[in-house]
Amino acid sequence: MSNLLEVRGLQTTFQLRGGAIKVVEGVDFDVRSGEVLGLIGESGSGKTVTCMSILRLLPEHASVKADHLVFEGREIATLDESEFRGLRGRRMAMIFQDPVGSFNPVKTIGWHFRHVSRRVSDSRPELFRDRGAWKREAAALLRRVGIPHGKDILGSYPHQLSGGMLQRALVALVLQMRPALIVADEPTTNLDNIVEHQIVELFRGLKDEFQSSFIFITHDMSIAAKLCDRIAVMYAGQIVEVGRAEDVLNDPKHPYSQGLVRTATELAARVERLQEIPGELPNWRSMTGGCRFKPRCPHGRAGCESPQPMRRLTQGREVRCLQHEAS
Amino acid sequence: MSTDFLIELRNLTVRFRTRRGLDAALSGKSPYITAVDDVSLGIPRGEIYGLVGESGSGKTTLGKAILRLVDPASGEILFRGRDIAQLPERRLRPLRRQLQTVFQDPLSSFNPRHRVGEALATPLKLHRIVPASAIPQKVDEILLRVGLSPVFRDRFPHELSGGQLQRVAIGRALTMDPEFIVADEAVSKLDVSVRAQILNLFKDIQSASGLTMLFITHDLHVARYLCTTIGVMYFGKLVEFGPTEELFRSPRHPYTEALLSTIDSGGSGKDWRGLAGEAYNPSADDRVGCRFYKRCPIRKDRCAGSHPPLAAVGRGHHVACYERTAVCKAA
Amino acid sequence: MTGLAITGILLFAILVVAHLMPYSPTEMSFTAVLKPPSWEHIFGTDSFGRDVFTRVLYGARISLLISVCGVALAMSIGTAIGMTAAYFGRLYDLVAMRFMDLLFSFPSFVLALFLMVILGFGVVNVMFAIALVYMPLFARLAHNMTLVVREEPYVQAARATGQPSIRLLLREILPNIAAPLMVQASIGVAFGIIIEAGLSFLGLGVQPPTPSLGVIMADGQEYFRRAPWVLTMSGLAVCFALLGLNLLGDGLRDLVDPRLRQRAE
Repeated sequence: MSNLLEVRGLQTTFQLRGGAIKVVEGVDFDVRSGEVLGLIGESGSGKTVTCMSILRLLPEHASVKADHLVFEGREIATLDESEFRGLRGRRMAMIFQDPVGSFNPVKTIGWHFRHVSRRVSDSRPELFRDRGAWKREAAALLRRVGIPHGKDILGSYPHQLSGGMLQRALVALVLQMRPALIVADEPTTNLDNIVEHQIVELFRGLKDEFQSSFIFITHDMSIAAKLCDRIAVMYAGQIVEVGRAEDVLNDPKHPYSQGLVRTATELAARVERLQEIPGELPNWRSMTGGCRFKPRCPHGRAGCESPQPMRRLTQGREVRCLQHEAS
Repeated sequence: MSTDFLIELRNLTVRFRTRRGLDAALSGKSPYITAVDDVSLGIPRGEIYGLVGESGSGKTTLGKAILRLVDPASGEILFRGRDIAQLPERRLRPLRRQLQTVFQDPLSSFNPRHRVGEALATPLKLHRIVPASAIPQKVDEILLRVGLSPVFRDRFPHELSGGQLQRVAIGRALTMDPEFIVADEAVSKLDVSVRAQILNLFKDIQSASGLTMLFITHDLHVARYLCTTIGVMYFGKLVEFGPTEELFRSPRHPYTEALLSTIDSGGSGKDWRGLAGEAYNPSADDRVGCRFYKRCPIRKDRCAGSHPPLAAVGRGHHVACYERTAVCKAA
Repeated sequence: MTGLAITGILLFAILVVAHLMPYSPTEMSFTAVLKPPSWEHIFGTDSFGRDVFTRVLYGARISLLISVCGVALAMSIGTAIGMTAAYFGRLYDLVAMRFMDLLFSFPSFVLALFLMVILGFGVVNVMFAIALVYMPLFARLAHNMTLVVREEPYVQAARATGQPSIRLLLREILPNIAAPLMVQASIGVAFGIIIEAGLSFLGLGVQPPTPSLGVIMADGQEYFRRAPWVLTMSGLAVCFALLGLNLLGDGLRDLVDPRLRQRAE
């Protein structure tokens, strides 16, 4: 299993009025072909910024640096804009949290599919083999994502569809491009339980069928459990734990991951009282060089004030915590 | 029975106009969307009542209607036995003190120009709860009560995190020592790590003061943790309600079963693929039969005729379903 | 920022420098009639031997005063009507806003003229004219913004707290719609000066010998061939004031925006 994407030393800095803020720092991770990597974290963890940095979707006042950014065997950090644009949207795509903003409100769903089909017409010439080819493909994809009357939907406008349907249509749209990497940023947060469940099932099926890799961003542990092969947990701009999904969820090593998993499981079980993770996310400007979770950590000790590297526990399993000092 | 309820709703209906004037006359369709459709329920004093449902189910509108932030089209809202549904604003105002709310998004529920201390002082001044000289002290007291240091008094809302601000929101609701609080998705926008803190805060406050609460959420786990009774809403109708554990153990309405199956950690449970594709579409106003008809796996012909009434299937447990209550009745 | 600078200079000039001038705006001198600009008379003199520079300074002050008062009146009444119409709605909203639209549909100067004909000449009436012309603008702006802000959760929260409506409008809604209104006000003052100048130019507004920019311009227009500096200088003064006020308005608008942007972070 080769690496579809390799990220080393990713750092994203925002230039603000009060100074520069390093929102993402020292991020290393891989995405293997055909796997779903879960990127777990809360608001302020940097998970969205990380992915937008890789896809170069950030505004001007953000600067992205990386030691090493390899996609499909190619170093992409050094590509110029026009070359990169050839990649983005064709080989790698992003699905955002709010499907409504991803569609042009004055164009039909069908228009979007045609637009996207034209964009990949060189890698997928079969879409224009005859007049209705892309349309048939679109309807088939819509059916695949759980919208049976796909053909009718093509003539509808985005505002005529519900949130759940729109999100599914968006997934179908992205699939039309057959990208190698799909980044899905909390695609189910705004949706209701039942629709969320369906979309998660959908992703599960798609992974096998289309051989796409996914980076699935979420703060919801239970969704990650259902869907992800491997999980990376982020806190305050750094990755603090990485490993196989079952390992991270059943036996989390980093105190923050432990807290998250505990809260998720406690709510599912019927505990008398939830255990809290005390404190708040650190203020960006006042972060020290040491462990960023220290103020909230029950296991803090001497040595935590120094910068903590990732420590390897076993093959593929790493934690950024002093407690797991490599032997 | 009804005298036990602090809040009782009788046949409450809330509608919104979607078409006006010429558009309404020409379109031939109903100019209204019925957000809350003939809902009756009772919340006893001292209870945390959970209202669950998807977006569009009407649960938020119901909460707002009880507080008279929107006006009902028909029906009664009984607060301490007195109907406030049509009460004019002037007579309602003194009662407002007793009916408070905590919103979903803490940041937008505060005036961005007022400091935290001022936001907390306003209700104190308005209702003359303490003499003017005692206000700063009371503000500090409230901040401490919700787990914040008094230094927050001088901060602006955008300087606080979501969790901290939500605490202030709870504090603001508590300043007036209300009898009833509506919490509308009060933890949904908060990070998971902070959620536990706020939920525990609600729990502590409620048990300390015997507050009555309506906790609106789409998250069943949260409802289970906090609430003693849960009501399930669908498409404006209350389709099931009952004691929390009973509801989780044996849900009777097919929609409730579907909801519960999605949170089943094993992923096992019934096959609900039948629910796919039939998205909620409020503009297609074919509200004659059971609202759940199109997505229901156990539907029969008579279900399309008229919406089933709520009927008892257990102690304090009611369901609006012909099939499920027929079985019980037969027994 | 430039706007602030220019307006600042203007204000300084008309408030301070005016008093330092050795001449009076109305003091006539038949020996110094229609003298071109010189060191003694920076803008020259007019047909009555009055120092043009002094007259322009005093004139600018009066023009500005009239415009500011008129716009202030427009802003207070217009905002009040717009806010209450949006908040209380229904019939009052319908009637009030339709009336505002009616006023709005008249070309501003024509409306001003019309009012002068009805009310008669004079400074105070010019103020009313300006107020009437700009009132609908403020009303519409306040109305639309109130509609938006009214739905904000913090307004709902205030309602739930039991805040009475008027207090709510003043404490919760008004401060949050004030910024665009202020921008509109500064631009309004700029154009108010034009209306005043226009009316006075026609002889309907400020009556000579009291100087106002319009009066001076009317005067200068008569003997433009012989002494172009009177009209030119007073015209330039109007331009200068307008430029300053417009830029100030733009600057204010920019000041409002980044604050919002910063909050989002």
